[in-house]
Amino acid sequence: MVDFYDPKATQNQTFQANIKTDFGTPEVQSKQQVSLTIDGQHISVAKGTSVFRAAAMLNISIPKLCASDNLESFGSCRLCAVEIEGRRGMPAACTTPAEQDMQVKTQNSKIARLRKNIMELYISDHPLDCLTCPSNGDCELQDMAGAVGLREVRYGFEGKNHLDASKDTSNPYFTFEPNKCIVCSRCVRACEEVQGTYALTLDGRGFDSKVTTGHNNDFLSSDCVSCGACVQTCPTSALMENSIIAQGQPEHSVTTTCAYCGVGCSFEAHMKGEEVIRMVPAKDGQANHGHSCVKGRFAFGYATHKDRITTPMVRDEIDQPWRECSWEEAINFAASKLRGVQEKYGKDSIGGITSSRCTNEETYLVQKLVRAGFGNNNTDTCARVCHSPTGYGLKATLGESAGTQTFDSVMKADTIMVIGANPTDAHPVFGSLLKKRLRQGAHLIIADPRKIDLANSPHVTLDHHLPLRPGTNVAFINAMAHVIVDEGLEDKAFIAARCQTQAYQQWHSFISDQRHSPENTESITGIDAQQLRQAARLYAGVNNGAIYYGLGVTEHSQGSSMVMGIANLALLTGNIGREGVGVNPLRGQNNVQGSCDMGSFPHELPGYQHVSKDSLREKFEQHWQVKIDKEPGLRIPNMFDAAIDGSFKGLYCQGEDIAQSDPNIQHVEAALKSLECLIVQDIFLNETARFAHVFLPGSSFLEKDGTFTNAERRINRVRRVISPLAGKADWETTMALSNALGYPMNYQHPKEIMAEIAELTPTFNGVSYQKLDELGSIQWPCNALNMEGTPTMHVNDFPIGKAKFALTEYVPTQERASRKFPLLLTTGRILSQYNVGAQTRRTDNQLWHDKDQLEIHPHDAQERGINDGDNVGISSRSGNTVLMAKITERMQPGVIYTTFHHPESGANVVTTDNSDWATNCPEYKVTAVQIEKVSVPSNWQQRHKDFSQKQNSYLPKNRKGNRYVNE
Amino acid sequence: MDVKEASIIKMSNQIADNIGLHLPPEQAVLKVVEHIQLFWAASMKDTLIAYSKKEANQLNNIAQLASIQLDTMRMTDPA
Ligand code: SF4
Ligand code: SF4
Ligand code: SF4
Ligand code: FES
Repeated sequence: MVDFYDPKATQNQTFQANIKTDFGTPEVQSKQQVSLTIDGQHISVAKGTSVFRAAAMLNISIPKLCASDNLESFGSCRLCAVEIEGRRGMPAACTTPAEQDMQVKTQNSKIARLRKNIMELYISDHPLDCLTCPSNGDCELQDMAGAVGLREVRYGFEGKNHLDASKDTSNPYFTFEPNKCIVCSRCVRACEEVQGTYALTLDGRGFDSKVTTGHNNDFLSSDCVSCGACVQTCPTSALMENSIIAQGQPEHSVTTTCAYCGVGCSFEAHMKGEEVIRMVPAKDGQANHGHSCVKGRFAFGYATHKDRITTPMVRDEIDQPWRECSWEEAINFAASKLRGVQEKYGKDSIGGITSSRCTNEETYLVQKLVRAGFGNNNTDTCARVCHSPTGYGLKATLGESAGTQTFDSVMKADTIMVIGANPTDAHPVFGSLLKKRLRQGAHLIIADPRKIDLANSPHVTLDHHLPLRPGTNVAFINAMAHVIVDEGLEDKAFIAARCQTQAYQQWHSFISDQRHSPENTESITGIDAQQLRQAARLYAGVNNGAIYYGLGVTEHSQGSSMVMGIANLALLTGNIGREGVGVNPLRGQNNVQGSCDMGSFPHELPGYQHVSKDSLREKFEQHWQVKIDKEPGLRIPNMFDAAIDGSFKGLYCQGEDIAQSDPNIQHVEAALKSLECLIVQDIFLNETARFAHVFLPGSSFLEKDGTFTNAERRINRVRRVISPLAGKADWETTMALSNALGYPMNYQHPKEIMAEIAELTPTFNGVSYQKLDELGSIQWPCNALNMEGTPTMHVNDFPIGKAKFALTEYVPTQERASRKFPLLLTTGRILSQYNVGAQTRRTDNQLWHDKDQLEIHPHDAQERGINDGDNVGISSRSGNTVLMAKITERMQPGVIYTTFHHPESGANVVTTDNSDWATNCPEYKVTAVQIEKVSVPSNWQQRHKDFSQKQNSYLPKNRKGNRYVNE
Repeated sequence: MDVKEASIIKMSNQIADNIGLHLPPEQAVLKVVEHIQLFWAASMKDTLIAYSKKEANQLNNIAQLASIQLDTMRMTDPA
């Protein structure tokens, strides 16, 4: 009756290798061991390990349905029944802990009968359409029916059953088909334990129990965040990816890395020929341990979207139509234009910008092209506009421009302080891990103008929300340090042993001053002094205090000071150099860390080696056979200023959409319009391309080999799973441009680029593709001292010997609320969309967030007669735009909030050109504005639409996609 | 005043404020000079020096002193 089919018999070898053993229950950590015998074999396991797991470790497989090794055992299916000597009945192996001298039998005729009976009951309430079921070949129920030898089902299908329950197709990426559900509750537990969202519940008892998304909800309208953990764990096809339903089971798989956020999740790309069928988070992925978010798992369809441009295009002026041409023609056109600009305006009149979406190898090549081929240091990366203060601040205090921990370290933290970050939206997989630790009882302090979602997570207790006013971070962090010093809570032994004495003494007298006390800063930050004192005690008073921060720290006029202030605080309390502590920048995009490491900044060669240091520069000069300018080059905002000034005329822009992502857009647009040669290399015709003379088609992460480095310094491999749509991977394009400019580059494969990086960069000395294949990933520094990488930094000493406390005086930003602009606008991002949205807007993620909205506190809205859904004009001294209002108490009065995922929103028309004093990182997080109810789009939005329409008309006529606006 | 000059003034004053507010002036000037040396492009340094020679300019005290020192250093060691 049941068609049994062995999936493994028909799948090829590579795919096989990627199927990882499921040990049934999670690993247990214990110093105590117990020994037992299972089917005559001896094994010793950590106390608390289940019999099921012990058996799996012996390669003995016990049938199971409700167990999975990423979930706590539940014991509902009883299929894993075993016999234990001296015990009555047949206990479930997954819920029974192994004990000393236990004798276990996993097979005999009695057990077999019980298991068969259980399967028979399951199957009697399950549709028998295996041959047409999307799970066919990848179904645990099917496998178990085979394993227990089920041959017939005695109970009829006529009785009461669930076979006509209706499907839930509300989620765009997966379908819930309740009649296939066996009520194992794995999905419910995955949503709770792995994702931490609690969107699913098991309703009813016994036969009536069923999985629901809550009262009157479907998946889309429920709390579900579409992470897919439930789909992945479902043993049947009750929860199934739509892509599998439509396209069938994959036949091979390749391990690669997500190209969205700085968590850097490892994925298995499940393929059918050259087509990606689904992305499954890799169980042995060291950053994500088998979990993912909606972006990485589901939103990969952009890679083959019809808007992809696959033919190079050129034009002489930006008010001329584009002309499609060959690669060779486009590259030569670009090269001769660049050289022409240099002849006319000088060597320093051109530069290059890379994106943190590019691989390490690509960014390395672009900065090499700029330094060696262009002959100047005008190279920068979009990390400029997000985490450059992290690089500066951490290098100045701890001696290395990177976070200090692994993600897993959070599981040992006792107090977790999250400052200006929104992990559940921006770093979802880390957010889930963090929530797990919080559910175990770790303390939580949130310092943020907004009450972020983390604060309202189920079973998470928020100890302190410190709702600081945007722009007052440094006053806040100084007050924290002041309390710790004032109340004698500092770690004197750590400071004496690990920190520079003179710098500490100077800092100590600075911070002790009463001007930093919470009582005196209350009027600046808006934080209640008592709350702040309690929070400081909670951070300093535990064994392990860990700080996690994001762009709410860096994107300020004092971003660098704030990063140093955070490092001061960690040093002061001895929270550096072991697991569970540390200073943890949550990087926005996938390769922010990497693009900084790779020498993209104008003052630093790869590995943060300063260009002005002769010994460092000469090493590169020798290897590259060229003279390198010893003065730093222009940073992105400096390039714009120089362009408007007329001294900067040519730009090579790889993968970055500066015309949408950078602040004060009208200034950026003026700069771009003044360029004589703008080369854009991207997968889509982005906003910047409207100002370009050369368009070089880029390749998505699926189309190339390379590496990304995540927020924990982890270098992960990106592997090519399909051929480049336009014929070239991005590194090949940069190489071609360099060759056309007369500076030869001849790499055959990105691994050769990595070999060169390793040779020239002390912290990368031990990195190679071969080692990455062997170890899965490597956390730099990786060299003679740490051949397998360095999970935790600064364990024994700092790269600068002893750490250095930095003086961080609070200097108010010039951007202040005034009569004319009484509100403060701050910006951020949301789970379903990514950065400028070029990728996610081209997927079904649009369903969750199809426009940017303006979040306003009811009080501010009421004062202005604004209602939910109204069009609201926002003006600042930079410009104005119109967005739709969303009234919410998440905001404090006086502060409004929006995202910038959609170009037509023009959020960055409003943001100003204020920037961090040390690095010029823009102050996105504070803009003084006024809002009012309006009925028409802003002038900028109208101009933007007109210009985009005009640019549409310049596109080759035969294109279907690639339109800027829908006409 | 052009765009580039305006930016340079704003940036140098900001650096001076952040580094120098509570340091003795000599120490502050040194640190500001060091910062500009390490992070600014040559053309930006030139703009700053040229601007600092204008009378009644908008540089704050530390930034002004730093520009003078930068000028001397660049004359002795032109990069
Ligand atoms: S997709 Fe994720 S959030 Fe949604 S129900 Fe499943 S596990 Fe929960
Ligand atoms: S939907 Fe799947 S995982 Fe959830 S209870 Fe049903 S069978 Fe189990
Ligand atoms: S976007 Fe981030 S959290 Fe989501 S899958 Fe990709 S790397 Fe993981
Ligand atoms: S697998 Fe043990 S009871 Fe279900």
